[in-house]
Amino acid sequence: MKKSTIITFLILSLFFLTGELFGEIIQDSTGKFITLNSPVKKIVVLTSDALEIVRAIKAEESVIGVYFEVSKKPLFWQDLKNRTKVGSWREVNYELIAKLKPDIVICYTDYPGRTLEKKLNPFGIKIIRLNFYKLNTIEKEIKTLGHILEREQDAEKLIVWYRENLNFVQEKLKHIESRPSVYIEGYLNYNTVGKNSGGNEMCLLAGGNNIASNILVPYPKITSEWVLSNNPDIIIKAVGKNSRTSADDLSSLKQLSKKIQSRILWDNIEAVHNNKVFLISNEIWTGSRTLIGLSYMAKWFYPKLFKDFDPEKLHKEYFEKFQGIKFYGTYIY
Amino acid sequence: MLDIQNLFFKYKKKFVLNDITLSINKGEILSVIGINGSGKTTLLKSIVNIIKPTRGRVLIKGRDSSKISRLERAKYISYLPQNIPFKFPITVFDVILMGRMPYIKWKPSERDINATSEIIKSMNFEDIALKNFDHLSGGQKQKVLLARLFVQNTDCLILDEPTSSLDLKYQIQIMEMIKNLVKTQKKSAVIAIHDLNMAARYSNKIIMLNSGKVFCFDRPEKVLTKENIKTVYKVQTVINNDNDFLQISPIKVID
Amino acid sequence: MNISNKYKKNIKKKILLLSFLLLVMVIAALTGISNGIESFDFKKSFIAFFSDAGLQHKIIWELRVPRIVMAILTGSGLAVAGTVFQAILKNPLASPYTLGTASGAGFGAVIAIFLLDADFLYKDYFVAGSAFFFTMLSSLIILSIAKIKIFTNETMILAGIAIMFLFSSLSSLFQYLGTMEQVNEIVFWFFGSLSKVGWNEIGIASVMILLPMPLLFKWSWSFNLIAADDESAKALGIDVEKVKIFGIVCASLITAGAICFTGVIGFIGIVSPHIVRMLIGYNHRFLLPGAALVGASLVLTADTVGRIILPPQVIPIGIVTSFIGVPFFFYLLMKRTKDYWR
Repeated sequence: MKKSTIITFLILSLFFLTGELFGEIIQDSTGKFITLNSPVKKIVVLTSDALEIVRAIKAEESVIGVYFEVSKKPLFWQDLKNRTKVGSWREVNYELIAKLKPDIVICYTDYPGRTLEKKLNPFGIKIIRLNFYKLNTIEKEIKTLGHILEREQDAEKLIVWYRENLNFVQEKLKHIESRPSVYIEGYLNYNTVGKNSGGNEMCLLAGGNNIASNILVPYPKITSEWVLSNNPDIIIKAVGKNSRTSADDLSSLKQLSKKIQSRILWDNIEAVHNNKVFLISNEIWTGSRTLIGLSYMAKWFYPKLFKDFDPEKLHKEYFEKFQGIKFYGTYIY
Repeated sequence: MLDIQNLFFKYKKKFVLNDITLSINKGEILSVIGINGSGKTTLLKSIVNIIKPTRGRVLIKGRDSSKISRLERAKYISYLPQNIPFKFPITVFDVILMGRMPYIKWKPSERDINATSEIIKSMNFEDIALKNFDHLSGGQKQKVLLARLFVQNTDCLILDEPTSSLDLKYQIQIMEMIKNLVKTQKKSAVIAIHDLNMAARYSNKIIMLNSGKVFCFDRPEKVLTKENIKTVYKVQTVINNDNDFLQISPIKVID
Repeated sequence: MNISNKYKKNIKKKILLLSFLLLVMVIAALTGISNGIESFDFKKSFIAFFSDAGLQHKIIWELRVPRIVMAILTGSGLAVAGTVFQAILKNPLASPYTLGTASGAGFGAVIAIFLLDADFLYKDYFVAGSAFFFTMLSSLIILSIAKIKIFTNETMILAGIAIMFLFSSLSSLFQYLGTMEQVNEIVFWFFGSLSKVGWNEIGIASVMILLPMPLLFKWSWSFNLIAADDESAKALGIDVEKVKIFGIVCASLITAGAICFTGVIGFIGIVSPHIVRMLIGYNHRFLLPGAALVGASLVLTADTVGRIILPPQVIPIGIVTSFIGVPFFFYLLMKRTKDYWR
């Protein structure tokens, strides 16, 4: 009895010791503990959200593999667009990653599926699942990534910047009395955001009252009649590469806005009446730049309260300070 | 050889077969006649147990056929349906070989192949044996199917309209082949048939059905009388008995 | 030469053709093993296959071989199931999916994807299990409808169409209620992919696919007769209803095994039997193994092409199978229309 206890203890302590000596244990956003055996030098990044954060903490040199779509935004990704493309956020070429031999692969918590671990762990490649798109976890994730890539100081800088700006908005919104009602439309017409969606969370944090917030379906399809009967104060439509209009093209944005305003009977809606129809680019609409989008929304909701606040300045600062590139493009209309 | 006792078959609350009793001996041909819908095909199918009779028994060599397994039964009684639609291309040899089905597990044995070859030889099918069954004329097809029936090598043969829609030459050939087999190998055959002259010429016994009931069951000359035909077929006829067999000529319809 | 020798020679020719199809499949498998992001010649991959060190060896064993094995299982399974469904339903357009099997499996996968947390360790197995369950459910529904009403092919095919629409609508409903991520996963499942398959999945799938196969092969002659005519099949001693019911159950089990881990791979099940009928003929004794070999070769080829045509993208197998199979099928159809299925 006694002997076995001692042996168990010895084995256990040996286990922890080796863990301390040969590897570092980190926890990713799935809550799983992952042992990293050596300092992480080479990484593959499958999501734009993670790639932005990697660059923001100045670890882009370690990126050896990226997702296909980087080449679609050459101005933004600059030299990162030339890294080996290994797949998309939801499906990868395992053979190619195995051949690249990265230390880790960074992807979303849910995608690609757990096959990724099954297929790549035998090659000694660890999968770290970090989202970087949820406001309530992004700080922790940045910290974890900074730790993994040994960029703690840069990570801290980003976290502080994030926290300060979020607090600034939240502080101002503390004393608001009535929230404006908001209709948010996704890339597809008459598709809105319901209770469990990132868009709903953003709207709430920006001080708005999403008229679809009590619909349980995350992305419900609704009717024109329903919008009319809810008579929102503000209309926001997300535009991205999935929509026919590119966010960079000002005149097409103008047309899109006009089109929304001229939908049958919509001139009766408060938002249209008061010219409060806004377009927001998918780059700052959820994702790693949620903060920027949120700031714009806060200003749209409370123009007086945020009279002296310029979200574009914040965006510009993010570009120059954290992404190391010149600011360009139109992100709202 | 084959005894049918009090056979009933009910379909949608109507008796298609109503108390049929008949028997047939070795070396005999029994023809089943009657107008369309009188229950000829149903009777044949019940005998082979393709459809289950509502009541009554079929005895093969004294054994109750419903107590015999399907595979076992197929060694005693074979059946030629009215038409067999082969949708796939298939060789004549394979069609005939199918008659050996009750004896084949997965691979046809030497015996099955030899039996098939022999019948092909005896029927002069050598030239067409490996040809597509579908390319044959109607008469040839029927002869091939008859060969399949023969190769199954059963004591009882049940044939549903084997000569309908065939040229005269084939009609006679096929009936002769059946008669030959029954006589020489002491088999029994039950044939549903439209042509009363054919029935008269080739059968030992005839059963005349009228709306599911046995109207008359006897030797041909007893069954095929002016009166019987008038009652069942509603046709006036002239019957000659000049040669060795009856000749029935229809004259006019009786209202 | 006498006729029985002629016939035996004909049989030998068919066996020879089968061996040829086997050879084609082996070559397709070897090509699949040798090609990928880095392609080797046969000799080099042979060395990498056996020498147990090095990245190439690991890539072959961890990533390529499971795909190849699963491709063979799925392809042969779908082809055999398709052949059986065509024979039982006497319909050249029947496929493993005719009786609503695919939409049943799809719906099973959809609910599992919808209900289970992505973190759940055994999610893939539950998705597969659920797909399997609903495949069997849909065929059982159809069989009981056929049993209660009349066992005709038309009843079964019509019931299959009804089941298909029911499950497709249910799947769409869940997709509509799902999050963007769930919808994406569901869409991907319907594309079909061999990427997710590992040795555990192969173990489960091979039981479901290989176990019922001998039974179906044993019934070759029954299928020959049933495909022609139920009544003469009965008269020749075949328990037609038993063969039909167990045939459908076995074929559904095989279909479930073939698609539950890989998603819906279309076309293989319907086209492989036709290709073999045109090459070897209609006798199920040769048709069933032939279809298995052709199906496996088609999936293997489609997978390899999908991996190497646009690297590093992997084109989903369901898409490539049609691109490869359709022209080949048309070629055969143009060449041999005369003797074909009416």
